[in-house]
Amino acid sequence: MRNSAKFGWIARICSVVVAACSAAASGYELGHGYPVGDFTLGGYAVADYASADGGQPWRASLDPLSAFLWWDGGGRWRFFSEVELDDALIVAPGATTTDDARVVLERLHLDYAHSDAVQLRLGKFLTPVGRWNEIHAAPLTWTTSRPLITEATFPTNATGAMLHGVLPLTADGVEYALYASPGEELFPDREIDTFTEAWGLRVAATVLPRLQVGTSVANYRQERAPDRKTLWGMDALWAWHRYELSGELAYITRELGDERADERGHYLQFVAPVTERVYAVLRYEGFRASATVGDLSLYLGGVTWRPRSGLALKAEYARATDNDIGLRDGLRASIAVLF
Amino acid sequence: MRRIGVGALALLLLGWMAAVGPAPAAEAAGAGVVAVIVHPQTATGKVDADALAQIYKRRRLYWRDGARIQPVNLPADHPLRRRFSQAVLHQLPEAMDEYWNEQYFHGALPPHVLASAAGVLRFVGATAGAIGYVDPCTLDDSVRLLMIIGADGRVLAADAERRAPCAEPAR
Repeated sequence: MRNSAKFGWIARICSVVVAACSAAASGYELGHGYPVGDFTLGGYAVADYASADGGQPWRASLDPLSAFLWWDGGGRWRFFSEVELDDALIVAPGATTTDDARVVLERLHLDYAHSDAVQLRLGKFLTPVGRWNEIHAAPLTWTTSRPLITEATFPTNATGAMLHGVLPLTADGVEYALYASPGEELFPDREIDTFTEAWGLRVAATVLPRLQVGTSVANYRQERAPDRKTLWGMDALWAWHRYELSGELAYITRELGDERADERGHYLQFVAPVTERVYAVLRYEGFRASATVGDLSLYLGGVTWRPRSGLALKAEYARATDNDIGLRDGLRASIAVLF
Repeated sequence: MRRIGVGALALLLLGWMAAVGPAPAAEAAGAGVVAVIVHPQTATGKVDADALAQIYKRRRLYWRDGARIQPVNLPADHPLRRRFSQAVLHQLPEAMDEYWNEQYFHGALPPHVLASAAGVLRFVGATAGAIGYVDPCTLDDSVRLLMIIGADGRVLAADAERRAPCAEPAR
């Protein structure tokens, strides 16, 4: 009964999406949303597959189905929202279920721009730590899996206030985001250990014509952790024509415990064009979770095909060593579309 | 033996990078001058080539007086658009796809696209805060010339002495 109700619910969402796409068929461009007056409706969807790994069976899922709705009246105020349906459909040996489907509020914020350099954001937003978390949508990334350091060590969303903007200090400007959260997460995701208190700063700039560098610091408490943490992070992206070298590193110190309680991690990713639309991806990750003995290493090789803008088909194989945290590795593949 | 192997691999990699990498930017800037125009009553303040790039990447949204900037583009295959994109953004329009997908994820869209240079001229002349680019020979009094992109791709500020070159002014 519960299953059929959820199937019906998903079918209704799909029919609305299909209707919207049909209505917008003339002039609609994939990845540019559907304008309705000053509002824009958009989103993205991902279907992915993970091979059997150790004791875990293979699994395919529709996760997430994400919808954006934003308003921009051409003045100083703007509004943005993103709602996701996570684990909308899971297919595993002997079971197809929608029982794990859950609606998650990813973002809901109101922005006021005093100027390009001074803008105020209130609401729920993506935590400005590193580069990946702020552009984590699957159609924008090169791999199906996400580096541990970009999500395992801090809550990916925060509810509070943020001062942000672009300072005219360099040719391309210096981006900054200074934020504070008193906790009280808006519609918290049960799978995220949310902030109970946080502040942080991220600064990013293009320091050379093809090199962007960012640095992040955050100080926070979480619901399920007894102590305060401080995160220090760096990230960089070098892009030359269609080649890309990117990486992030983070070090998290904890108030309680000794050095063994600290967490640290990094990744380095190289992307190279193979043909006009196909790219090869190589990534190395290192991660040390709090109170674990060894450092986890993960080696990943993959291929991404982008037949058109906003559409990505990916396949990758990853192998982890010293995997004390049960990280899933093996073969993964996905189709992601930005609509 | 191992050194020869590494050398061969490096040569192969360099050859591959040369063959695959530079293709999107290989198109040379075409001949001709592009005139960057604004609505005549726009308080633009100082706008240089970097500021123009930030406007067209939607990183700069407001003019000096606080009015919202309304940038407009020509279609991606239009010769003026391609010349403008290479001179100002240092890449061709299609190479910006990933950038705009990322911006879209944050609720920002690329500048509106108008079908023709005549449409750009009409839009900029009629819309407060608008900025666009046209062939200098089509300029009229409905718009103000802000910058000139020379045939060599250099972006120069327009002033009383530096007029957009046009052998035969439009009537």
